[in-house]
Amino acid sequence: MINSNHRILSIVLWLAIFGIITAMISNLHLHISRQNLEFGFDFLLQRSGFDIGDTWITHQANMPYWNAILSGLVNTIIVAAFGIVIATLLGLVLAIMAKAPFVIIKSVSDVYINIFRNIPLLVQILFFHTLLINTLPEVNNAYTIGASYVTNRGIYLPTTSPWVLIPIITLPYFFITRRIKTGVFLSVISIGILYFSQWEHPVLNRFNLSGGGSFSIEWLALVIALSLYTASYIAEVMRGGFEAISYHQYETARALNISYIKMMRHVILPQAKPIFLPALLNQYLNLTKNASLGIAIGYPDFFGVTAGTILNQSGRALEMIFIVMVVYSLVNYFSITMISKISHPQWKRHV
Amino acid sequence: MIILAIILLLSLWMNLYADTLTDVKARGFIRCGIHEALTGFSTIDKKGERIGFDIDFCRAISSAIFQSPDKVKYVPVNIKTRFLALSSGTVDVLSRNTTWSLDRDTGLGISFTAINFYDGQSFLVPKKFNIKQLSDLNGATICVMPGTTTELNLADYFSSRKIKYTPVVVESLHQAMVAYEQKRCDAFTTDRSALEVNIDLLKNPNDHEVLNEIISKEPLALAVASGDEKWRKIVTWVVWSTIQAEELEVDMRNVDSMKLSKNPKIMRLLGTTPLQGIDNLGLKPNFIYFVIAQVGNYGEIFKRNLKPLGLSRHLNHLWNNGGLMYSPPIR
Repeated sequence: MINSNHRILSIVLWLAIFGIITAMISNLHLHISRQNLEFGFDFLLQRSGFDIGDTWITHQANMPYWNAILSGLVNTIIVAAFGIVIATLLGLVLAIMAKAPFVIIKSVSDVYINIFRNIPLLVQILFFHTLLINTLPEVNNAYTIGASYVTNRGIYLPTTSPWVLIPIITLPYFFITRRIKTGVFLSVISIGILYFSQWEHPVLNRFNLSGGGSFSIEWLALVIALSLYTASYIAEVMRGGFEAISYHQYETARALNISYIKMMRHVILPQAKPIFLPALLNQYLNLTKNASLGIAIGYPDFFGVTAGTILNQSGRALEMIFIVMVVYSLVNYFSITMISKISHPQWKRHV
Repeated sequence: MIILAIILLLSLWMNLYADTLTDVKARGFIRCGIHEALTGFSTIDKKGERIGFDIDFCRAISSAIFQSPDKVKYVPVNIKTRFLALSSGTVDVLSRNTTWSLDRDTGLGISFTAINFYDGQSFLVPKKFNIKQLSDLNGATICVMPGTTTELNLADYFSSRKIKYTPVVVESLHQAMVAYEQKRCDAFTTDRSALEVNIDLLKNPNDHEVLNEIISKEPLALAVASGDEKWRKIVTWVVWSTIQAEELEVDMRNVDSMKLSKNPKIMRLLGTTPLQGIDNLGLKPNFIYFVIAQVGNYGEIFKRNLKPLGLSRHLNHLWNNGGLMYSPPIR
């Protein structure tokens, strides 16, 4: 029951909150006009005037600001996608190791988790960046693996038309669903296509390796650090899920003489998944947001491009921070909805 | 409701407040936005005190207002925060090797005052590349600091000449020098002064060179927040007074004897014959005397901070000596 005192209090509270927000907005408005600043997003259509080196969507000086935002956003999404896949796989392995019946395997996972979870991510990013730059060879005496080069500027690979990738990406699907014959057939076709298609090889010129595709050293350092760091959290999240499963399940599986790996895969994991899934999604969001730390090593991710370069070059601090907040919340909202939509039917089926 | 009323009143009160000089005098010191660490321009000496070219101009403003050069609180600001710190009033003046451009002067709520250093953008390259002109850098990876005018100049210059390059952005001067040393990039571009100063910090300075080619004009100037005309004039005239003093050969050592000079120009400079409009600045009529006596003239400031680093004056000579340093008459 709500008594009238509570109701009055809550109305006052709401009015106060509303008042504070109104006051903030009007104050902002006053300050903006006092300083002869303007608020608006028209400038996004203007020529940006700067190049971005390391992008999946090209950005050059004569392109508008919004294109820079887009290429930064795509950079972040790709870093996050690679990071999420690697961190999940590694985290799963670590979690399974943590529950293993062997002390050595258990302690390996334990040591890993404690190291990577306890060191700040920023430190790890800087560490891997410094490590890679200092240990990998300079561009003119790169390690060569076939037509690929590994240098302290990045990894350079030969490339070909992206359409070739389609049969290769779909291959695992057929093997997972055990349509082996289709799988083998497709593999033969893709090997054929790969063999006969036009390849563009990286070539060493006066300064650089050019041609082909490349992953920059900043990208590598960021993805490695993000994956290793998040994997330690994911391992703990999954271990929590495994431990929530009644010990009867483990004992029954053991009594049926099922091997440890098989038990985890077919008995424990399906039951633990709905338990750890929400926490796992949180980790994915953290990873996506943490990609903004790439700014420390000069990786042009969404945050670095918008709140760094564009904010500086256009001087539109308010607008850019606004865009950053809106885009991050939208991206995270949609990715969470999508991932939970994908995962939902599966765990419903098992439970 | 009371809270609400207080907040509204507070916001109104904040808006009525825009007299920096009164603010500064009440506070007892000026807040000067500076570079965290840029050899020659802003560094910390062995005693733990801030020294440098940019620092001396903060001190000069302090002398003009307080008759003492030490009433300054130094606020290190980075490339990103510098303009916002200024327009939001976190600092009173920005003395942080900042290039004056139309865009920045009109769009950011800040106003530039007077140029105290003419710089230009150049390139640091290893000698072994044997670069004769910039087009020899075709295909190179070039380190550049994000959000600077140098980043825009680089893109403009290279794209208009169809020279290909890969930019690598690095957050600070220090990081850029490390990346350059480790061959992450083939060249590093920023203002020539910064390159000339920093080349000595490399392991083998003799293996590297700063290219003679300059691709941009970088007039570095002090800046203040827009909307306070009086404050802008104070900062402007403090800078100009140091240049005028050099022109009249008034320096730290001879300023006291110069007070007795019968040269009308010097008499006006040092406030022996008071000028009509000077009261409107809100400063003492002889504020320039304190600036020169306590900080020195432009030539002295340059000689003290930049000459030991091997920087020559180039464009920063006085106008009557082949340079661009020119103060409007003080009369």
